Amino acid sequence: MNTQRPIPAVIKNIEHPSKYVKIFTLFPKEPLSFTPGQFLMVSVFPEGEAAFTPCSCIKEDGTFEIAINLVGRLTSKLHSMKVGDIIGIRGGYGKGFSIKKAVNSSNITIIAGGIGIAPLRFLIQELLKYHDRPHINIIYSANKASKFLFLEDLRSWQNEKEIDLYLAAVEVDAEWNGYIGRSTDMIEKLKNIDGSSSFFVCGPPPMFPHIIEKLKQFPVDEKNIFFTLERNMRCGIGKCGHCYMGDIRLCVDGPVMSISDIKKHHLVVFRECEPFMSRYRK
Amino acid sequence: MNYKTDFDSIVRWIGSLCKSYEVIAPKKESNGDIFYSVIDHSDEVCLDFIGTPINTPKDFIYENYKTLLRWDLAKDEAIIETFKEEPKKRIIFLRNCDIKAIRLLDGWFEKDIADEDYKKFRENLILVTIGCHTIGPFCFCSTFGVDPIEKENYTLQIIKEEAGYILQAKNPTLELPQHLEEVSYQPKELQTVVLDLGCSSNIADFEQNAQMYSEITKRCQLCDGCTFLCPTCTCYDIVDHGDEIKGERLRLWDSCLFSSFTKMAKGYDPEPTFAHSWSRRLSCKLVMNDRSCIGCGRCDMACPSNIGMKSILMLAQYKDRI
Repeated sequence: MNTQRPIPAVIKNIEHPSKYVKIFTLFPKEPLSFTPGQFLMVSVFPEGEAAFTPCSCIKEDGTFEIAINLVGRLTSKLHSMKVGDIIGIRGGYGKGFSIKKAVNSSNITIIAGGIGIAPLRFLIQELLKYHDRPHINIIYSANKASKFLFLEDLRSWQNEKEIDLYLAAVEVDAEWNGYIGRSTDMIEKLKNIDGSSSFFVCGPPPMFPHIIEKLKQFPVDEKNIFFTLERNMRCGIGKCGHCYMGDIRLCVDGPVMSISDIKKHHLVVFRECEPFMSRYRK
Repeated sequence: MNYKTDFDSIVRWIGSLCKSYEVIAPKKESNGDIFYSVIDHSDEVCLDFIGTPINTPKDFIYENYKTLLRWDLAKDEAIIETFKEEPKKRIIFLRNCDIKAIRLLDGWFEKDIADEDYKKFRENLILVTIGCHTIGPFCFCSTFGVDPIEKENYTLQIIKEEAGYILQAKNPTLELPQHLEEVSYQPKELQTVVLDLGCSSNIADFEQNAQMYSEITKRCQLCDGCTFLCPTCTCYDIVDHGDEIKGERLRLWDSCLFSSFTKMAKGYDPEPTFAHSWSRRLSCKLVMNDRSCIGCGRCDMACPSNIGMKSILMLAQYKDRI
């Protein structure tokens, strides 16, 4: 078997919850398996392949969901596709979140920025399957209130005992009466954080240095803080060299990495740069 | 076992091998250049050249423009299929440095998630060493512990001597040439220049080596000769040719020096400058991956600006003389 052959998958449903995000329900025609935090290589013919993280597990009917943010050439092609169209999928690749570590910790904090909620929603779904799981704090921020995704899930998490949900929108919005600010402001509100608390973070890279700085006020072990990093991935199997970061290849050694590993390999998670605006967005 | 033989019997032997194998060996082009090529007529083989052939064995074992798969979504049953290639039985005659390169490629393609195609191909490949009789002008393989004439790790080795050729065999799986005369043989001690690798531990740090990196980035023309001619450079890109319905996916060699190598969809480049790319290349060749430079000198031969790996090591060693 060729290691780089994608499985055909049919688009079963498309939701359009915010201006630049679409949630695709996919039905893979052959068996596929992945865990939260692992990524899939999605082929959109003839635009090529790109890495995306699924935002749900494979359900009983064989489908799963994937949230796609319109950013570049491939995602704009994907956004133009319709129900019934076929794309290719292979994976899951890389190291995902350690669920075992999460359920054995004293409490779990999930920090999501923007589209970063996608893999973390899958993680939360998996954690909810454990009845003896520890307390979960969910911090979720978006640029605008209209950009919050998975509103139904947010509502059900709000009603769940043992879950504290903190939402923050960066820009003032007429319809938003919640907190105005960034996810990092919410970290200060967390309670009962100790040495065995675990943190799972996914969001835009500029967020990471601020979170590391904020978490210094707690006695958290760096081995228990996990970031989802991103790079330009081409092959997904550690051969093509595109996703190098220092001496690691992110597709094999990541994309989920603890701060202690990031420090061990001297990785630079974010370099300051000019903000970009995608030319594919109208 | 060591045997004495002559060029004619080697040619006849290769001729007989061509019947059941695809033979790849150094061949002299009409202008005198040496290239690894598929041999059609055994008298094309050239064994008395100096240094390394211009191209690398990766041309044959890790091809550029290789088709990975085809898609055909027109029918009800969407088809995404790979090519079922029957691997050919191949023999490749190559320099000892290139053998080390193939062993490094083996490690790379077989670790983590193994590349099945490579593995299948490699199982059908027999390596024959061509020992060096003279050191080439760009060679510096001894720096990386490669011997111009292999001492231990070979099954078959051919060495040109002043009178005829010596064939060394250790449990070969191939039939040997006819008319062999067993001799006692001690290969001559050959060694290329040995450069100091002490400087390589911090060579990736372009702030500490600012002068060297400014020299490299000023000179580099981005022609990519060094990466495409490097027998251990394996980075590749994946490109689709076709339309929504039908097409094929190709694997193309890529270079970590290209400006868009790490660039992401939105435009953010985590390795933003040319110095970052070069620092990656140097640490990949001289520090990481068991030091993937083998000292063949092809990058020095190809570089129009004289910044091949040998020149860079000398540059790092004699900073004060730049």
